[in-house]
Amino acid sequence: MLAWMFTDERWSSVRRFLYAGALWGILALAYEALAAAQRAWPQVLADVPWVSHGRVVATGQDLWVFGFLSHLLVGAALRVVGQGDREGLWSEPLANLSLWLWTVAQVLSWWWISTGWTRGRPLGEAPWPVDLLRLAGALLLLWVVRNTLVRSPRRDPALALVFAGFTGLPLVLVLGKGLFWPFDNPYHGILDALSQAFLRAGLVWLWGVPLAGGVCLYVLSALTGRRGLSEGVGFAALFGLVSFGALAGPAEFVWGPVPFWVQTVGAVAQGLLVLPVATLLVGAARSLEGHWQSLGDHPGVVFVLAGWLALTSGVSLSALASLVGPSRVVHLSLWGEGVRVLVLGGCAAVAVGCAYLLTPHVLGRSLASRALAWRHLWLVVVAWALSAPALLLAGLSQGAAWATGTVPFAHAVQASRPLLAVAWAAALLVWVGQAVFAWNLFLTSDSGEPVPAAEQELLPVAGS
Amino acid sequence: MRDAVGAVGRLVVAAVVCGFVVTALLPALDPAVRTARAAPLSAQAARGRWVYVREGCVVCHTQQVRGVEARFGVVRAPGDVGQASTAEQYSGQDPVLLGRLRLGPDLSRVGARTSGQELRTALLSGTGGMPSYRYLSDAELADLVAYLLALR
Ligand code: HEC
Repeated sequence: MLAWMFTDERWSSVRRFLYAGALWGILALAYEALAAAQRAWPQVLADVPWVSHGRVVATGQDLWVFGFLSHLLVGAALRVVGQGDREGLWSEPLANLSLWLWTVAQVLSWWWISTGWTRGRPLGEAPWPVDLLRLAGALLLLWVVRNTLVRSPRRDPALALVFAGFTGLPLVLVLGKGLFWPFDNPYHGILDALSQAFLRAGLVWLWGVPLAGGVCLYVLSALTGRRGLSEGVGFAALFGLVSFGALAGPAEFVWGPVPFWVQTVGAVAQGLLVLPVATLLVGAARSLEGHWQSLGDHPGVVFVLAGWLALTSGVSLSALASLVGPSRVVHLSLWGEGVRVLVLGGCAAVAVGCAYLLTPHVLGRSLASRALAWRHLWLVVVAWALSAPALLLAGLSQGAAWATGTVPFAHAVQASRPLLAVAWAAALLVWVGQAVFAWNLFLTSDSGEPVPAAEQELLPVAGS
Repeated sequence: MRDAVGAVGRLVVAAVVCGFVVTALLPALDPAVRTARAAPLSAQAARGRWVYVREGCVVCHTQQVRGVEARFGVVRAPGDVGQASTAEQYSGQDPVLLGRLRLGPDLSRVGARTSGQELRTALLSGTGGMPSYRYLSDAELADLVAYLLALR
């Protein structure tokens, strides 16, 4: 049993992280669909404590970010990092250990938040034992990734981005959740609000996006033999991402009860984040130049590009919304949910696309069914096309009604119920897509066409 | 990658720590934040606050009135959303419950515009977009109402 859990078989941790991400994703997106249903029809399951709306949203977010997104990204990232000089990871058993720590953490936080043990900080709900397990896993991963990367002979901005993400996560957990003081929250009052905002911004900009960006740049360039970004531009994007990302939190509080200068810092940083994100999008597109004929029919490639497009439009919209004028209307409305669909959904789509592209290199088999993967892609794209405009529009109308100073608040929300029903239908499509994804991964590992050993490598490309 | 790993690691640590210090610690020195503690809640209201946290009311309700909507927004009657929230109002709160999405009205000053009976109805009836909380025990409900009444 222990030998199986902590095996040193090459890529065992990668496979497990990917499977775990796919499975947690089914659960996380089911929670998301339930939460969306409860927004449209508030009495759905309202009488069952552990699935009442407040707990469903809290549990769902935790499952989404730490279960679904993080596991998928870590799986893809470890595969890319381990390529180096073909030796694999510095230590598979340690990478496997972090998987088990995170698995226990995820099960516990699912259980505890549903039954009402929470810290009550949006996206930071998990109680302290979960935090400590997650931190331990994150530090182990950082250690494994660092020791693997220092063996790699080539300097590559894509791998540097991945490494930045692995360095960012433990810092964000320690500072944003106050884990230097683990059993209690060291922040109070408005400082608690600001550190919560730092945590939320950090999980996206210092963890999810650097990992997604690094992995997709590496994978695309390894497949086409062409680097999309020069070393200088790549490192500049990394610098922009981490420094603006670490400052962007207070953009949540425009017009709110925090000192004006902090709001300004946050809003400016949020606006500047458009630059590195757009740079990474250009990098991904450029590494495909001249190879569109051969790769354009792979759903994984289209998934990655669609994800970056969604992410870029999401970050542009949130930059817009943190400007003083527009924020007056849309701030604290459903607009924010529309933006989150694009930013987080985009990030997850990049991870999913990379997982599709990586199957021959992780499972040693080519993807069982491209047709199913295309369906998954279409489900997700249709869902975005439905839910993002519906939520943005609901936010605009809610904010506009509020700004008149004559319409009672509840009326404005009531008027947006049909749009919330559309968002629910979209959430359902995404959930079906996720099930299709997990099924396709299972089919691939079970009966996919084996790939010759030479084609399982994913060799890095020399500098452009 | 050896040299790059060291440099990137130092860069990320520096950027993240600076970001945290600037956006989450320096504000502590701002005179608007550094003021006397808000009046403490009664023991019952403090228990009620934990019911609020546990049930995730923060998912649908904010507790922050922004400057631009103060004495202007309409929950039921014109201007009843109340005055703008200030940083000092939150002093000592853990966790703070500012919220980031409004599906229901802002609750910063709900105690000033409603009665205990109305609050009970809002929590139990399950009409008008608010889920019902009939599964709360009588004691929990009383605590929660005491907390909401203390928000003024
Ligand atoms: C699904 C989102 C949602 C959740 C979760 C939620 N509420 Fe509400 N709440 C609403 C909506 C919508 C209204 C407006 C109802 C109306 O006036 O028609 C409301 C109204 C209220 C009101 C009346 C406010 C006023 O000034 O009239 C109170 C008090 C309240 N909620 C407290 C709570 C508490 C306490 C919790 C947690 C136990 C909670 N709510 C959870 C959506 C929600």
